[in-house]
Amino acid sequence: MLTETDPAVLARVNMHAVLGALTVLAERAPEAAPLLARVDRPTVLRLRVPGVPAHSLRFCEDGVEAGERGGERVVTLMLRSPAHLNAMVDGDAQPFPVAGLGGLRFLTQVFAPLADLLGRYLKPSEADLEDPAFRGISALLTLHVAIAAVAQVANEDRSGRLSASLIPDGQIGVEVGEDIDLRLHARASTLTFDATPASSPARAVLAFRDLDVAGDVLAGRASALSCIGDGSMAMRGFIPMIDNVSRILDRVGCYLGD
Amino acid sequence: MTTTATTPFTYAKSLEAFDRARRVIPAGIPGHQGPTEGCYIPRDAFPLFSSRAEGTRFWDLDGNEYLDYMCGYGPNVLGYGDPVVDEAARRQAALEDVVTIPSTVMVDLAELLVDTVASADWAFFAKNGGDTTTLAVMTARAATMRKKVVFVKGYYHGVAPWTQKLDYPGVLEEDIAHNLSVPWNDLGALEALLREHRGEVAAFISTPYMHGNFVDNELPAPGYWEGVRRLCDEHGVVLIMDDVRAGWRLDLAGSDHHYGIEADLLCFCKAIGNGYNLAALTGRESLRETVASLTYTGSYWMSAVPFAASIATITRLKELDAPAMFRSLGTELTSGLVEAASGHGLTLVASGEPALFYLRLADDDSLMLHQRWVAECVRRGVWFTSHHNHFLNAALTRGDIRRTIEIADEAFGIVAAG
Ligand SMILES: Cc1ncc(COP(=O)(O)O)c(C=O)c1O
Repeated sequence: MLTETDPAVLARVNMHAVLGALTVLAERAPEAAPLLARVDRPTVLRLRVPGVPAHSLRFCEDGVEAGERGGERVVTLMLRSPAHLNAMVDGDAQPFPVAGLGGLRFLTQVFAPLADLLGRYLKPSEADLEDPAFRGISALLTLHVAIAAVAQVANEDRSGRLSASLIPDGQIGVEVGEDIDLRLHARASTLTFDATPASSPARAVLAFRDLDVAGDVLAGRASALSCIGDGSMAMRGFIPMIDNVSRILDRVGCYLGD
Repeated sequence: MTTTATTPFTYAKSLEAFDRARRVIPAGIPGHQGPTEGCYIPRDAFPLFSSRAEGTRFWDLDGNEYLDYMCGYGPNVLGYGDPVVDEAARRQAALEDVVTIPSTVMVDLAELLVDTVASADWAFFAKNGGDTTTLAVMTARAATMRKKVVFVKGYYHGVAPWTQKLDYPGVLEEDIAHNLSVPWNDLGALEALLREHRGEVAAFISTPYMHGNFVDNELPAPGYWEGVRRLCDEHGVVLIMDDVRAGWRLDLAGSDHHYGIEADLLCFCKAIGNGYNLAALTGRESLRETVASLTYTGSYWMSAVPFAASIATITRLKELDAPAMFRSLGTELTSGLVEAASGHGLTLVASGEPALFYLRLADDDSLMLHQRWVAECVRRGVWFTSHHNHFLNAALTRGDIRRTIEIADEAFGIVAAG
């Protein structure tokens, strides 16, 4: 158990997992569509942080995706340090934008409200959680953030790397109910998160009965052990993969917890 | 093979009790005897509480009967409720158990251990296996004035912080700062590590063979233990053999004796008292004064009843030549299981020592097929486990083995049918 976290790892978690969840937010949250409708032309948001590989998100009217296709308007957010990015994601600091007028409008009219919306779903109020539809989307986003963060922590964090070193090659499935099957691919002790639909059987599976259970466990409102005990969570397959992923998930909690 | 089809068990009362447990005990049943660490896959194929045990069987809360191949994870070595052991315990209990000063029955048992265990010049008693592995490492550090301990990858030596890993909750980096490891059966790696850390390594700690979880168990390669002994001697490293799991099942003179060497320290627990709560560290003369110098004791460590039970257990194991019996029963059982599997087109791999056999259906690398087979066995009354080595006890009969193979065969059939 490491009692400290590494700002550079958190920066990757924030870039790839938290901001990465804008892609799912765009697909699922009804409030996202009117915001995206304001995108007048495809725009790429580049995040530049010293010591962390640059990462881009591409926004268009239809949605958000990771990466760039070419030819988009480019808006670059310059951050002084990993800690600066982390403070920006927490809403405690401003980046230095490099953008034209249209780009600045994109930042204030599209990116900022989308990021606020994401924050609302990831840190829901009690009142918001009473709405089943909101609760479902909130849990789905939490799940995406957590699993994407597992890959970052597995590859970059000292404790995460130790856990990942004990994961043999193969796919780890994270299932929720009948419909959701997210995959982590393990190869040579490196994990990648693959949000595309699964095409082959997983070597180990961690299954949540439904999104409520997933949301509660991932947000730390319920313990995974109790849920396995009462059957609302289950595991099968090559259990050391699950054991080590859950150790990484605990470590993710150190980064994303309050 | 003709098989009487069985009706799968149900567990309503276990579930009710588990609901009660969860309200007052963290995780309901924490640890390896609970559904998570115990890998109850799927969860509803397994009962959660037992109500009674006798011989090689136990009954769950719903009255379902099991042929038990986990033996309480090892302690049951003669059969649950062995009449000879229980009588010895009753006689001692009528005299005294936990008292202000110890009973000489402790000395009687220490004498018996020193007579029985080839490498033992003395015995020090505690309660759990982990008490003895911790004591062994403290002894090695005190004797050598060195910090580092070499483990074998995939090790389990209990749950004290020094036995855990960096990614385990509640364990500090400082707790494990002096842990090094080598692969099993790899003398070259051990030699290189001892050279690299010359003068820094206090102990090498290992089980007598690799009986790790989730992997086929591996016996020592020819010459391996002799090589380890030689390297430890060359580098002044204390050789600790953790015989907590395999002890009393392979060789009553110690598993170090079984594999042709003498360890410096030998850790015993599990089978030492047929379920009466006891552990012992035995060791060589040269470490006697070091152990005597340590601050290490516990409220129940000198209770007399387990000492009496242990004397009766070890005496009975000798009379039966239990290790030979386990080898023969284990071989008969595992070859019957392997054959039954192949009758359904499945490949069952049995590994490790027959007395503590490890099973794996090798037809898929996820172990899901294996987990399904184990679940079908359990809900038909054969308690196997999907991830851990098994244990035999002396109450097991050839008739029990035949019945086990019948049930396993039915379960293979179900799994093979998809
Ligand atoms: C090899 C080995 N060492 C140590 C221990 C720890 O023993 P205990 O659980 O009695 O503390 C065990 C228990 O399973 C074991 O198998």
